[in-house]
Amino acid sequence: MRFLFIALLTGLTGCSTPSSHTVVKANWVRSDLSIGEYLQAENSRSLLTFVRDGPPSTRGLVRVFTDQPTIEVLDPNAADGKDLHRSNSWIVYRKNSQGLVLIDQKPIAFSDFIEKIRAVYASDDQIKVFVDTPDHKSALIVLDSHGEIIRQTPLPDSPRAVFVFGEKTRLLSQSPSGLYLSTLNDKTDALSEVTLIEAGDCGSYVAVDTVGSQLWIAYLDQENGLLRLATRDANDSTFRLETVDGTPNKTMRGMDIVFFRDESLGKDLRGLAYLDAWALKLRIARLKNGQWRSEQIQIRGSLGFYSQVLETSPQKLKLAFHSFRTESESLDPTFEDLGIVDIGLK
Amino acid sequence: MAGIVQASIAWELWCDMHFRVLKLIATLGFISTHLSPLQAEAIYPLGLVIRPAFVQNLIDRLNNQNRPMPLRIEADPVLFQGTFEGQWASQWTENSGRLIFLTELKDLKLSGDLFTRAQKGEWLPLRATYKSITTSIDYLPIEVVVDPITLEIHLNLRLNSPELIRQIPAEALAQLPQDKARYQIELEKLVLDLILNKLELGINGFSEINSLLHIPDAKQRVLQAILKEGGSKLTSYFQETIYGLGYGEYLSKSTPLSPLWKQGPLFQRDALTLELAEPTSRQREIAFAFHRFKESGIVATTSQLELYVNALFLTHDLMQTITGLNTDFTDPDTLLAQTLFKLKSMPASFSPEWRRPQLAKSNAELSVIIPKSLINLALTTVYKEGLLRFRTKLDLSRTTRKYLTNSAPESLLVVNINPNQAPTLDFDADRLQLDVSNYSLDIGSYIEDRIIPQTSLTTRTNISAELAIDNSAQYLNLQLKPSTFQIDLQDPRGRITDDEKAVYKEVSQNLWREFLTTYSELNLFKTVINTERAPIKVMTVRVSGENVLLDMNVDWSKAKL
Repeated sequence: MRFLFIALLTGLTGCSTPSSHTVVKANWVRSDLSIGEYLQAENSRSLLTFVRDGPPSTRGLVRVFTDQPTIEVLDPNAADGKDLHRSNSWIVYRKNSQGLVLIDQKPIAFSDFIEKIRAVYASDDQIKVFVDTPDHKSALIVLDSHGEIIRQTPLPDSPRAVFVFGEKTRLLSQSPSGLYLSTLNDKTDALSEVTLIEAGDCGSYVAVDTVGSQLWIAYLDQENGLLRLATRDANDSTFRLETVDGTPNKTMRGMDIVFFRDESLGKDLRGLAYLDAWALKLRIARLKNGQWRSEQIQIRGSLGFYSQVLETSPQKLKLAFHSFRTESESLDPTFEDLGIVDIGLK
Repeated sequence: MAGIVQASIAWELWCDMHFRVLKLIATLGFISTHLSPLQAEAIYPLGLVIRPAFVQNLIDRLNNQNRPMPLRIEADPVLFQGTFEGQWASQWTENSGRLIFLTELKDLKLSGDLFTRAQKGEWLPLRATYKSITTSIDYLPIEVVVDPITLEIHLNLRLNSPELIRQIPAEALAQLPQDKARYQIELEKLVLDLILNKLELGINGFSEINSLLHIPDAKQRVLQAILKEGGSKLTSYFQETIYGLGYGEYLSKSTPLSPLWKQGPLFQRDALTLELAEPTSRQREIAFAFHRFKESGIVATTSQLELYVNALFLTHDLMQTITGLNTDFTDPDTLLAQTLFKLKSMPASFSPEWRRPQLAKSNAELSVIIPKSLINLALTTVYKEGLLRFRTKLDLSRTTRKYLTNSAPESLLVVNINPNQAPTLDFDADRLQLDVSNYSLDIGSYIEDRIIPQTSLTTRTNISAELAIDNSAQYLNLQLKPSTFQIDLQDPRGRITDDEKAVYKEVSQNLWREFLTTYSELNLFKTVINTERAPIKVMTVRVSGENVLLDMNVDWSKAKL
């Protein structure tokens, strides 16, 4: 409680420390709206998100063009939408317990029994939706290109991410005993090659990237409050584990994790952006000389939710994020904002 | 005859009490065990002890009412429809080793209308202007027999009654054969004749109709009809009421007012809210049931009658195992009914390891025997099903409103309260102490779409409790004593300071005391039979070996018979 109180009160009373030199520029997109939850970047200039309020012309599931900025409403009835995912141009989201897929600009409901959409992986003609259900179970729902269910398969644990590595479809899952990686058979949905990455309360938030021939999995160790990284080569069966950021039991760093290319430090290097959940701040971590260095992005307020990478270059990282509470020096605070920040990379 | 009716009432009330008490056991609630249908080791007998004082008080109460009761006797070609009344003997005695109560009826009076069979088969009054038939007998010795296998009740004349034998003239006795077996047979014939001679049947004012009663064995047939009718009524009531000592009901129906089923906040004070952490739809599927043992379970001693049944919690999965029905396509009530039917027909019996409890003498009318292990197993079951998981919310936007603008969005401090192990009931000599060890308080902040974990405290709480009966609401309650609530907090991760821990302890203690005050009487079970008819008071709670004994008396002054 102390941490949240401090975070809220300092955020609310404008007591945060001055911005550091890493921030180049921070902009707020349509701060008159409640906007920016469940961000999904389409490219460097457009984002998918929900707008909770405002006039009908801006409310619902929307596409935001950040450089103009303009808003295109995709589903006006989704102002209360959640769990937005995008894969291979398919857009999947949830309204209450209803799962929806946007097809030809029309929302198609495919299930009324969803607690949370955890991951989506789509090819041209098939959409795999990984969900938790209200009865505390998990399932894979496979849809065709019309949004019709082809099959539904129970899953043993709660899915977190799905991706291809080593020419196989892989599934990251969190169970009460730890974070697991398994291979998913594309035709039968059977799981095999199940590997424990780390035991304990790990993996409620994850991010995955392929770096050269290596698989990088970043995840929150909720038990200790750490951002952890697991890496392995394609031909290796064991993971190398390390702590990227955090002090055991003194921090809670590593929600809403996203990888970014960090070519200023070397080819095939990745950095991480994530939420410091106790400080309610956006942080980034970079691998400098083999050591992880992290810092808090100095923007006033309680922010850093649902971060997405819009653009990277050797000099600059452009992130979109959601701000629960936004501070400005002269104006009253605003809430539920969409922020775009350019961070200088040295 | 009236006595038989009153006997019927006595037995009805006896069964009524019996059933009610068994259900009270059930509600202790949470007393149960998962029983694999074929696993004898899972049997936990619940016992009911009935002592002579109960029967005595019941009979006294009935005799004082002195109310004629209806009776219908068919003895072709005659139908009697009327009433009877009488006085039960105030002293019953039990026949050692058998389930037979010996008693007697005095001043038996029968009155009513007499019908005869018409040509079309229907019953017609013997004569339109006839008045009534009357009969009376001053003394009728009866034995009341409960068949321990079928649970049928039979009423038999006691033809070896010493009092009646004494009334047989000496010269008649002197003519009896010397052979012992034949002597007994002939003696009983004499006793029966004596009874029949004392039984007067007559119709006031219409002597010509009396001839109809002079059919062979008319009196004997009437008497047998009375006994058969009385036994049949008792059996029917006994079995229909207690379902052959089997019972089952979904917890959500039997405890509809329990906070476990409450929608929305259980408790709210200012910005603080307490609610169930999980939806309870699955818990609604749990039923409590008990069923009798097919081959054992009834024990008669010289001082009391003991009945034991098997109690269990029935989940849908278990019911599916027992019945073979698919729970997805079976109505829950049908599923439960089928399960009870199967349980009744199962050849369950006590496990060889089970020993009948050694019971100390008691002056109470009734006692309930509950194995301690059964209570804690029940609590484990409750824990497993998540009934004890709560969530506390502190609305930070309200508590910090003075720091915030009025447009502050909702932000909540959330405390998930999870038992890491089942709560246990400690059994001191004269009190119940509910002890919940290793409870965790998972404290987090609800913001955006997530709960951000802050820390996890482990707690140990305990509170005194006692059992009480709300007779008007027909509930057995576990009455908690909020003033005795104690909580001990530990922060194994060292994430908070001592001052913060003290704050949490204070908040927790006040919150729980408030909750426990609001819900100080947990309704464990709603009785189906109206306890307003015969309110029960728990006199003492005793611990005897591995069992808890509830000694109870009926509040006869408030009984409605």
